[in-house]
Amino acid sequence: MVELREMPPLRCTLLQAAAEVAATLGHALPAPLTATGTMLWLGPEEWLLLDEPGVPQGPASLVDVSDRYRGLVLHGAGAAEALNEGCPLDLADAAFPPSSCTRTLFGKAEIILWRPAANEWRILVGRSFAPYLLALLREVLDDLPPG
Amino acid sequence: MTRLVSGGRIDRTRPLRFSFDGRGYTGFAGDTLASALLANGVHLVGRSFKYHRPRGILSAGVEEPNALVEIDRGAGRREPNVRATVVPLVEGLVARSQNRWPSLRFDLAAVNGLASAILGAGFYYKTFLGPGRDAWHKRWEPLIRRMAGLGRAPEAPDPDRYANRYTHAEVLVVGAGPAGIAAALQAAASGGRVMLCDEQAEMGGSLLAEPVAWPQLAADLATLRANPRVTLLPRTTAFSYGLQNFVALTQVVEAAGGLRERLWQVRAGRVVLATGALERPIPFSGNDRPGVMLADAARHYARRWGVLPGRNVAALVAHDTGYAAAFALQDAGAAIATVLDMRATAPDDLLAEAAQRGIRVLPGHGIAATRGRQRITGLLAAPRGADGAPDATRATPIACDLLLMAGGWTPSVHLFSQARGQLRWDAGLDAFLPDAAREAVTCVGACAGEGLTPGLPVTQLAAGSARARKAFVDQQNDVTTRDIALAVQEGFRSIEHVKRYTTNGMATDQGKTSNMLGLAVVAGELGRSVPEVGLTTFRAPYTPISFGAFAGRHRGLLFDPIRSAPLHEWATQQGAVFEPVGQWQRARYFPQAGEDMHAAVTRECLAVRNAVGIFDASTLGKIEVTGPDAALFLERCYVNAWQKLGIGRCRYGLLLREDGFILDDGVVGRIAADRFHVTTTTGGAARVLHMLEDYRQTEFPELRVWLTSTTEHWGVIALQGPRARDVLAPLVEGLDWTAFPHMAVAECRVAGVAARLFRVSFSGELGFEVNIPASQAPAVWQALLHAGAAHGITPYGTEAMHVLRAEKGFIIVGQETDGTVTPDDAGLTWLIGKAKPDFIGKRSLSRPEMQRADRRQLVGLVPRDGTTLPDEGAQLIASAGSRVAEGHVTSAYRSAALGHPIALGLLASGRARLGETVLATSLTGPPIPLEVVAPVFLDPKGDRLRG
Repeated sequence: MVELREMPPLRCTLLQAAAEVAATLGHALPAPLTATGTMLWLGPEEWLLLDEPGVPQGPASLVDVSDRYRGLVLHGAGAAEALNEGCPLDLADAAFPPSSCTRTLFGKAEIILWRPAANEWRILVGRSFAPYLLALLREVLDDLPPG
Repeated sequence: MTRLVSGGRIDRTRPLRFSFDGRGYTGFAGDTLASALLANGVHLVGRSFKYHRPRGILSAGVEEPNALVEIDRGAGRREPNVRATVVPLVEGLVARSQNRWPSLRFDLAAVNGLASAILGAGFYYKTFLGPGRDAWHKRWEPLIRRMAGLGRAPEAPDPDRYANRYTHAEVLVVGAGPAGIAAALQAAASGGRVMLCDEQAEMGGSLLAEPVAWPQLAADLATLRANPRVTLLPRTTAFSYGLQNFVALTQVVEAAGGLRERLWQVRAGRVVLATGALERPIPFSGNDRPGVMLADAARHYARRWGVLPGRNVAALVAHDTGYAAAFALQDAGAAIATVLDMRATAPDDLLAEAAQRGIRVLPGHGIAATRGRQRITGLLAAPRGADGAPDATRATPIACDLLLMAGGWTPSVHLFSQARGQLRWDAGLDAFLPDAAREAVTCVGACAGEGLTPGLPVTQLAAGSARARKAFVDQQNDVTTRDIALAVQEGFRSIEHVKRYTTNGMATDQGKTSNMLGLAVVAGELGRSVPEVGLTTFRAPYTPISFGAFAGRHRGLLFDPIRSAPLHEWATQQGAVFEPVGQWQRARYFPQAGEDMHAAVTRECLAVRNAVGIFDASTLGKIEVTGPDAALFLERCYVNAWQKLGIGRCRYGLLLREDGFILDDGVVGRIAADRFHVTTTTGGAARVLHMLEDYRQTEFPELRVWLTSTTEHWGVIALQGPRARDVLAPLVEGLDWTAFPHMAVAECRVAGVAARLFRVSFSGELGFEVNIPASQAPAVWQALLHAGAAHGITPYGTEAMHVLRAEKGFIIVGQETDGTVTPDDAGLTWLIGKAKPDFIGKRSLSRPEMQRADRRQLVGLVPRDGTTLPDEGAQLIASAGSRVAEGHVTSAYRSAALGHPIALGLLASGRARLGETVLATSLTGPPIPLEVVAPVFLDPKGDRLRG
């Protein structure tokens, strides 16, 4: 049984800076392709901050993108299979363990996929793509075998 | 009934009713449609493609070229060209034969059989290219279209769903015969993820015809099933093998909820191909009659399905396995009339067993002809002459109701070959076998030649057959040995050319039973060896794949993302008419009761000109450019000068490609010394971001600048019109209106929401664009509507927006530009920062060709008669009858503000031709005379937007 729900509105800031400058914001920087509870690694020198950003000591870019995304949560044992309907990555524990985070695709929508816990998957999707993604995911979940 | 009383893997306690051509029959659980038809004595199941010859069931698997039927599962679920040999029988199955009229038993088109001498190889090419060209369109094509073609495409939409699954496995095993199962067991023991797929509903492959192996088979499958890291996929065909072990499988699911098929896209660490081998048919006259069957298929029908496909059986064998089939049928109760062995001698042990079983064996024999209309009734056995052809003068008639063909074995190397693996010709086994692999792939079992023994070489199998009458090589496309010989005679040497000319192997069975035979006939005619002639390319898909499997869920509303702006819901409630703009749906106009588009757009335009309009501009691309070097970065990319742009000011920016042509445009506002709010066109948002990011990373890595897409973050509401400020001002907090001229930007609050307010105009009127976080856009929109009610605020759509901007001569990238328009062509030279040392495209602009005076330049166009609207895209010509296009109309609208139609166009030397008359071609009437005017129709000085 896989549960799909929408996340409450997000507060997020896109941070781009050299790692040593980013570190001055007071958050532990996540390793590449992972996320901490409040910071998602999106690329080299690029992170998404989920709480209030501090003031960087050095050149950095901080842009409020709170309304850029809508967040979805998939919960349950079959979630990885459901995600693999549209996401071509290997989502098994060995390849995508909990705390993994990446930019990828689901169907024809670009998403950020974050696995905070073994059975919990979070998706951030561009606001205008959310209706497409939700409709597609709902159809996928309808076709998952029960149990 | 030809069903055996016992034996086989069918469940005799579970009878299933089905119908074929409207007649009811009964089969059992575990049957295929083919085995159930045979169990009911039905051999005639279809008519051939070209000649409408009666055809039966040749095989017991995917290679079946003949037994193609239509399966009807109700409205929208009618599927043509289904191989009866792979359809598991289910209760209530409805099947129909194809390609026959009025009935399967009496088919008028079989008269074609008389014309078969005309419809030989290359018939279509010859008819199409020859002097009969007119006759082709008028007579032949309509006739052929009526007569030929397999099956009927369904008309209703398919109501089923099709799924996709990307997956990764350490080992993917294709084929669940003995070799595949062994490989899967071995792989599973090593601990990785293992997938085992097989095209049949039951796994086991050749073991399913070996009852002694069944207990072990069941145990092995149970072992695999119990392993959570093993995925077993029956009814799943690996049909495509791509780079880096990317294998596509299609699985028939047929779940109760409507999920019909699933496409698996597998990335495998290692692939094990255990795809087996296919038995070769034998070319002889009348080898396509119902009741002529591959020997091993008959053995499977008897052993696996408990069906005796014939009671009086003859066999034509070129390989030892033919004897095993004959013996198995005898064991099942059939009488074996004769075994004709094409070889001069047969192995002693087989001869001894045949003698012991009382089976007559005639070595060195072939078949001169077969008898029987809708099922074989007999054959003419004849000794083979020196050239291999049967000597009809010494023929002996033999009666039979089933004729087995055992032509030897062709390993299924399709997938290995798709994986760019090299094949080598094994002269001993007389087969192409896998050689050097390019992927991490292993071939095991019969597809690697393991366990195969040599029989009569395929060239000798085909020897002399080119002189036979109606010796079919490709039964699905009705290609005979004579057709292939004719192609060679007519000069075709390459096997690829022969294939295309004769269509041998080009049917939906992809030549599984015909390619090797065709090759052998060509080799014989050319006097070359099989490897010298070479193989045709193996292309995906291995077996026909439904369109549904490819489309998956990407159909209907999910075909492509439909992006909707924050005010989409409101616009929908207002009855807006939408238009697609890329993936976006944008409100085109808001018709009121009784209004057509023209009336609505006229009303919306006049409201903007006379009062105030409100417009959802949220789809505009937005990029936040930040960092100490942000201005320098923009300076290097855009044509404009940016470094001196004041904070709180905006500029219309123009971006070129390296070739100097316009790529995109948009207003750029300076929010802070190190922060710019860049806008792009709706369609160009991603393109511009990618290009700028590319330059940032690869050309200017030394600059401290970053780009962030904010397209989705900001909702944008445009207020345009002389009353715009009156509507907006009461809702704005924190803005000094006295320091907010045209082309200014400020951060403030609008209706209580933190906003970036731009004073910009794309209409020529006093205008503002309110940027607020997208989630707040509906609330701010409502507040503005409320505040604007007293001022006659009017929502307008993209069509009015287009008209308004055209009246001002503002270009739309992609409408006035087409990738060949320079800034000067568009009249935008004034934007270029003259003192700048460089920008993207600058060097290209200095090329002589880019500076020619006769380039096509943006002009305005007004119909001389004051009423006729030219077509967008119409060519501009200098005089009636001229065939020289001097430009084209890029935009054309009826302008309510001006009272006549207006158009923009690109015209050679346009700016030097003001006042001249040019003509716009028309598809429906005479060319339309237009006066060339300056492209700004309204308020050329811009007083209104500074108001």
